[in-house]
Amino acid sequence: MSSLLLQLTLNGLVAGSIYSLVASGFSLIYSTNRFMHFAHGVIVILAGYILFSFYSLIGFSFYYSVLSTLIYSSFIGFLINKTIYSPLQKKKTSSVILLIASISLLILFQNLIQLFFGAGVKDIDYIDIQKGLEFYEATITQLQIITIIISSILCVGLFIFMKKTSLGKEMRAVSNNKELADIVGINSSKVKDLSFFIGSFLAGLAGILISLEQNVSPSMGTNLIIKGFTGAVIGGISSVPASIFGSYIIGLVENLGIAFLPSGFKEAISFFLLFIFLLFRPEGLASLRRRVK
Amino acid sequence: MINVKNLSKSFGGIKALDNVTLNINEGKITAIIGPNGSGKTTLFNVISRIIKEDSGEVILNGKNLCKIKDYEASNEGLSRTFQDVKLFKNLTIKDHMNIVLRKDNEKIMKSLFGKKEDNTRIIQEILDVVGLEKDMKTIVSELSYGQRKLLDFAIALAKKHTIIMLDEPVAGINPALRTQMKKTLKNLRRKGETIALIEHDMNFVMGLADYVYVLDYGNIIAEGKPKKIQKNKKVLEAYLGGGNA
Amino acid sequence: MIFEYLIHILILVGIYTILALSLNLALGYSGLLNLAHVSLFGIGAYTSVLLNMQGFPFVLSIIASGIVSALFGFILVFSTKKLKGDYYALASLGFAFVVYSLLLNLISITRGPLGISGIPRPSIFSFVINDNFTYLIFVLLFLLITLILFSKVVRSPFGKLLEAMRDDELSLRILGKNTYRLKYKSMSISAFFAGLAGSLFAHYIGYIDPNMFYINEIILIISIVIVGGVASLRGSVVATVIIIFLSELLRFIHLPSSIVGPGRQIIYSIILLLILMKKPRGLFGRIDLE
Repeated sequence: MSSLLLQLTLNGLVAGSIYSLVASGFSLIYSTNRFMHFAHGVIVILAGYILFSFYSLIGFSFYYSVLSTLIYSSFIGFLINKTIYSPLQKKKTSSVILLIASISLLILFQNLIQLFFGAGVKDIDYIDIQKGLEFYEATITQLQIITIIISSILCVGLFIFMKKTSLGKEMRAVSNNKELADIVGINSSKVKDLSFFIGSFLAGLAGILISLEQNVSPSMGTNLIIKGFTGAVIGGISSVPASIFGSYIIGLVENLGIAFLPSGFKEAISFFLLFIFLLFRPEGLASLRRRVK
Repeated sequence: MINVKNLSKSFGGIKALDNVTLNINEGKITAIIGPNGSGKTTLFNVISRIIKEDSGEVILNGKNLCKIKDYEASNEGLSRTFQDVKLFKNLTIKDHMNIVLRKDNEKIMKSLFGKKEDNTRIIQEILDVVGLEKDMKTIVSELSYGQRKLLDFAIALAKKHTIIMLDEPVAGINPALRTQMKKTLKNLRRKGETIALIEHDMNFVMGLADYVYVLDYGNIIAEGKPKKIQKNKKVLEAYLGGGNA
Repeated sequence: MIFEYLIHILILVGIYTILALSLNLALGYSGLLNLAHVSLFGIGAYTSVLLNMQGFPFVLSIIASGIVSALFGFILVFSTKKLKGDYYALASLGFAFVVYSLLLNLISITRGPLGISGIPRPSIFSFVINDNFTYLIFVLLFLLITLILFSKVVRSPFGKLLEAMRDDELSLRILGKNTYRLKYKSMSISAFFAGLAGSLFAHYIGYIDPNMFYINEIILIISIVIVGGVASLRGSVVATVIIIFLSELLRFIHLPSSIVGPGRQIIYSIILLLILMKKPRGLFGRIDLE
């Protein structure tokens, strides 16, 4: 029984790692721009399909494909902001409209992909058969280990960037108090662009990792953004570290929950947690810490 | 009348109201003045139950408002206006007045199938009292700031009430309108209305208020008849020197 | 052949118009950005189908679908009544996800992803509405009732209260109105009609599954309401006609269904994005979405 729990915990950590890559970008963008960028999921979908196109269809080398995918992902996120969100924000539209616009973008891209590539799952043949490594009584594949490592490195890196570098501090200033940041002379538009670049880079990475693990399908972007969003809400949507924490919680709860509920309810657990948190603690668990202080 | 006893309210570390005790007496105009940030609007917000106090009591006509919600306090007889005028920007003047004049509008059946009272005459009367000279079919988004303030006042009057609380009724309004407002308030007092008034402008308050409370940093630093207050050193200090937090 | 197809489109237009009108009542007139409206549609559909296929007469089933949806609408308002703006919208989205999950996973009741097929046509006092033309009349009857009722509500003093609540809820409370109760009443009406629409839909199409009441449909319904214009009943009617006709046009050109499916969604989302960017008030809207 404990080996089952161990396995589920490992699975939970892997899932959490991917969700945290999505959630951290989403949270970064939310805290800097003050609206919910659901179209973040678009980057995840596109990343998977760009990797597929470059590597499996065209035949570029793997590392070239990955690099290109990351670069394209960052740019596409930046473009979405420039072409859709910025014009809307200039007109002083409410964040609710931005939310609806971002959901529309998500649906649009998901269906464009489905139109061009078909609804079926596509195979990215980089890693043939995953031989799991034995870890006590549970198995974990190399890819999964790499996923956890990459995610941890990036999350720590992001944290250091936000806390120590001057650019990171500027981002935090804008997210805390945009008006004050403007007065102090911080170029908030540059900072916002940066948030989209970095956030989309992370989303692209998440897309790559999950496509290697589970192959690509049009709906994966929507699924991941919902999970990432849930993790961010549970942790605390305006705080990147809290969002990462929340994502790991979602990953673990989802997978450990299977031990007690039929596996179909895996999704339902996340949705239910999301709803409960939005109802009772929309600021996330992070707000508890502040209260205790 | 309203009795406020030992009312305190803090936001984070800041004490907005510190053990405030005051009374709004019937048939009188009571003014609450003080520099910016002294807690005047917070006081109104607590009385009208938009915010809950940390400690202390608010008693309206003998009834303790402790457990009461904002809309219930309104139905107990509180009418108020806001400093930053909040109105329903897509509705007309007439719509606004009807919302408070019609009694059964919350009931769907009565509203759909019952007889719709025509309040045009009453509405025009009240608009005349406050001096709002605009067609009642005008949509509020088309009104000027001053006109919106007048409408806010008209609505507060039209609603069934035992006391009116006005939050800076003449802020940002031209002198002619101010004089008119002063006259209107005096008339209302003559008719027996109980009025509580937050104002910045000491001049407006002198010659109008029966009693004045002065707030500074959440504390009542002085109270009394206007003439006495004008000469009070502490009050002068608060207005002139006290703004350095 | 074309005539048959036209009848089919008009039936869909009728059903979706009822759905759009009910959402507009909640969103445009009461300020409740209810992204879970499609769930109420689905709950109505499933309620009606499950009852009817268990032997309950259609008339009871459709009324039940309205009532059960209204109940869920009540639950939605009850849980979210203290939330504002963004968070309300997101909580309603979360509600939609939860309902979707339930429909998907309570397999013993809903048959989950397999869906329920072979849904019978309505049978009212042993008269079965088998042919589509009669069904169209049936739907238009409901639409007429909906339009008349909603017009009355919107013009009534109650309707003005709802609009005031949309514009500034706190101010309305300060004027002594219990806005929670207003939300319950408004949402109940909105949900009831969404449920009715769900029943009409299910018994026409003959098949339902949880995916038909999920994110894709949310976008369609929101598009219609926004394109038509928030707080405009006329707008909802016109927008439904335009959007449904446009999307059905694809099928008319005999494109394969693998293209039609995503193609439709692409059309809806592009229309919605264009309207949001160029003319956020929509065709007939009088107000801005806050």
